[in-house]
Amino acid sequence: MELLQTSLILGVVVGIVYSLSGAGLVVIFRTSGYISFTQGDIAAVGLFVGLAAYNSGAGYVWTALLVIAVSTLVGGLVGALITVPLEKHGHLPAALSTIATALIISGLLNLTVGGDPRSFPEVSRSEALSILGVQMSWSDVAGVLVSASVFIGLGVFFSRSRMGVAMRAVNDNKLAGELLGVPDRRLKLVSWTVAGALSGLLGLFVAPILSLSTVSVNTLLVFGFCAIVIGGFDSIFGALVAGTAIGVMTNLTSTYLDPNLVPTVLWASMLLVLLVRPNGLFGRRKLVRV
Amino acid sequence: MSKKLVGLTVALTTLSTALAGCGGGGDSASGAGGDEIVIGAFSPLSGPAVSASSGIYATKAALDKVNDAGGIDGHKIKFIIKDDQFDPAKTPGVTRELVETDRVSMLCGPQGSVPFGAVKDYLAARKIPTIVNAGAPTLAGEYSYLVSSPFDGVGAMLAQFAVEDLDIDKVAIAYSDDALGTSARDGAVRILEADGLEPLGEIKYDITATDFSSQAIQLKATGADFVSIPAAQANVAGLVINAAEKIGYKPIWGLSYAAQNKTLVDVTKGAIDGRAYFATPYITEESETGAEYAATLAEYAPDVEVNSGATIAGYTIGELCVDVLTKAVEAADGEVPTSAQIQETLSSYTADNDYIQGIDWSDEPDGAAAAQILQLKDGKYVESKPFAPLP
Amino acid sequence: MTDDILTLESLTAGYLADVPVLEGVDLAIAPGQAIGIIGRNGAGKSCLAMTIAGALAPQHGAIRLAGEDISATSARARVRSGIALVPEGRQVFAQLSVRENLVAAAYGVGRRLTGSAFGQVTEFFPILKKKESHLAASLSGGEQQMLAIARALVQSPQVIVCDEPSLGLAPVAIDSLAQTLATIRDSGVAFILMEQNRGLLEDLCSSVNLLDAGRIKMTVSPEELSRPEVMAAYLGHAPTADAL
Repeated sequence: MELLQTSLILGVVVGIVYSLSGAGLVVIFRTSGYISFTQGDIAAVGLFVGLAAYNSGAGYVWTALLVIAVSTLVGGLVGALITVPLEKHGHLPAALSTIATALIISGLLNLTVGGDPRSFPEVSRSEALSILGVQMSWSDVAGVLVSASVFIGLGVFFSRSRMGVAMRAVNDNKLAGELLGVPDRRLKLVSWTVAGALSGLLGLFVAPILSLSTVSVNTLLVFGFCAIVIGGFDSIFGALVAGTAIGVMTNLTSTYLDPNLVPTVLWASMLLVLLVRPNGLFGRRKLVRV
Repeated sequence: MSKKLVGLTVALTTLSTALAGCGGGGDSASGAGGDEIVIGAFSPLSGPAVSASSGIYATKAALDKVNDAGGIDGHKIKFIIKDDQFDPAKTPGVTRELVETDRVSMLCGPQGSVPFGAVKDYLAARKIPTIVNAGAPTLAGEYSYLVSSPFDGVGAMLAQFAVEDLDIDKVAIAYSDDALGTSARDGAVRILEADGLEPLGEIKYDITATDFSSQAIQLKATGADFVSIPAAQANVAGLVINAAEKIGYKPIWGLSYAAQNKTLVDVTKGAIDGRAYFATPYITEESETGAEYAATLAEYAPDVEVNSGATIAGYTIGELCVDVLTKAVEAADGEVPTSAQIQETLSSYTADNDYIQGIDWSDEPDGAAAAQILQLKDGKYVESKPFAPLP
Repeated sequence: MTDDILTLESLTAGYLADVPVLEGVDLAIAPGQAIGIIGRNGAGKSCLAMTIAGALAPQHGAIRLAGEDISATSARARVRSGIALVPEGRQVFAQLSVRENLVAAAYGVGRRLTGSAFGQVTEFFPILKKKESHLAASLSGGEQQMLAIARALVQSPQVIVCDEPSLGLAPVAIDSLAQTLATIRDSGVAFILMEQNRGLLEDLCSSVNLLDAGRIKMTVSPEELSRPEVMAAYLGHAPTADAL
């Protein structure tokens, strides 16, 4: 029983981080209509810069702010200089450019900082609270709280704010957006910048757990990708629910079936959702017809 | 000789060799005495696994030291390292280059179980012997000789150490479902059963996973005081340990040379200092021979991590290659030995020296049958139990 | 004329650099006035709408808004300076709600969709208020057309260019659309109406221009549209009973 409880609780904790990794992907998807595979590497640049600052004496707060600032900048630059300009040739070249950019950044990181995993500072390891006998550190609590506020914030942004609505409009009908004077290029740059910031934020929670290497944030983005496919590509809430469900499901699979089955279960459930509900579990709105 | 001069000499040698190849097309290895012994290895030198390159640089350091002292009976060793990025899809290509273009007579310390697995049969077919820097017992063969102790024995030694030396009978095992992991687990179970015990848990993990909290929960639920995770590399061991310590489970950890490096200490933020033991067939920097090792490394490969299990393994293999080649040159009456002569030497080779003990390739081409236990203490690896035969 | 809000002066434009679709088009329109453009498919109606909206750049000639030459400005700048387009095929944001469509349109001119602006627009189209939170994709064709016009209205334009607003609408819907557009026109907005539907043109426009092969062939009053020589010019042959 204790095994089950602990599995469930820790599954939720890690699942919320999965959701957060999906959030950055959703921001770009909702404006541009494709997935960015560069986010993990954008985060890695920010994290390595942050780590260098931390090792030369910066406090945690400054480190965290620096990580987010650098990721924001790099995200914005990748969008402005590479991906958004390529969109004029279509979504496919733009989406492929995110893969190319990812490989280039990770190649440069391998060259400069090397492939060794390193430890990354975290909020605090000390125990904050205990749920059903499972101790949660302040880092866990911060991860859950930050993720939750990011999700609420993004949800409100896309449904209530003028800019968020305009971003969705641009993705919905590019021509109409242009004819109505919606500044689609600027909105896309904003989405890349925001997604960069979110990647950095995600990295702050991933790097202490997985240790920081050139691939650590990327390995987690796989789960984020599944989360948004299962949750529904344009549903922020769906990503939250699906990410958490994935965390619990993979944890239970690992505990009660076989740890080697985790990827199989993950991808199989993603395919199943795609087959049964192509728009994801929470993407139903898209199909509404009166 | 200054570094620049060495570089220039190497460049000129390479150039002249190349020119000789162009012009003559005949046998360039004519004449006695000064001819080079050409050997090679593959290793990641770039790419994500580049950190595994410390072993090959250490091997090279051992060979460079001998070259600077005049070589083996006047023969310099030419050591060609090719980059396979630890990618078994690239290994066969660079290995063919080594064998067919560079005409190496043996491979000395190529890195990694999976990459070597991709070329083991090819090398055997070409009758090119190899001293492998990898731990998987399946890699041993007629032409491939292992140095690192088999993980079955490593797992057994850790279990024995827990029960007999630490007086702990609550032991759990974490393992990956592959040749290394399962043999380490079987070795541990064998010893525990011999003592009338059984492991409180055998918890499986996937080395490609990102989340190890499930393993942490299961390990904690066993209530074991000693968790043996012998086959794990530092990064995976670090993740398992971190996940466990995060939920308040702080047992004594049993590890091996595979995880013995800075990465583990760094990733776990030193939390396991004093609570981590490493079974290894290799020496430490702190020992008497180790001082010589550290000095050589400081001179020939100053950038690599001295205290890493992989570096020490690489260096030890370099020393073994020198010893084997010395015997092979003797057998060839002072000439450059052929592959067949090196193979002949290897197949009857035994070693019980300052660097490694319990190598007997005349019996089986597998790794060292003796190991010691080190304890991580104040960031250093100190001897906890001296060299003894693996149980 | 100085009180014209929009004038086109020998405008030549097209989709490809050397292939003009429009050639030497002259038009002038005053505030509160609606003029019609009629022509067969391929005559250049949509090209004219896109050129006025700034999605296509003129090759020769000038477009003046309140006397100022805006020929070289972008689509975005035109929207901001007061030219709104109701594009052919409505082009609503299908996966956005009715209200969100209006929010996006207001954002296009750098404004917030205020409650009063929303109230004003939905006074013209009450059904849109009722279906405020429905997805545009779920609206009927007529409702989508209303939404497209409402989107133009929230941009507070001086000129609205409507490209085939009656296409695909039921006759009764066209009548009510005509009434609504007339009310908007009377509030001082100028209309350029690319249309095939004679009823709509008759109800709204003070004059109708017959566009043929990119040139304005004749300008007539709406009542004159049924005259045989006008029909012949439009159709390229004598009218038959079911032509209009």
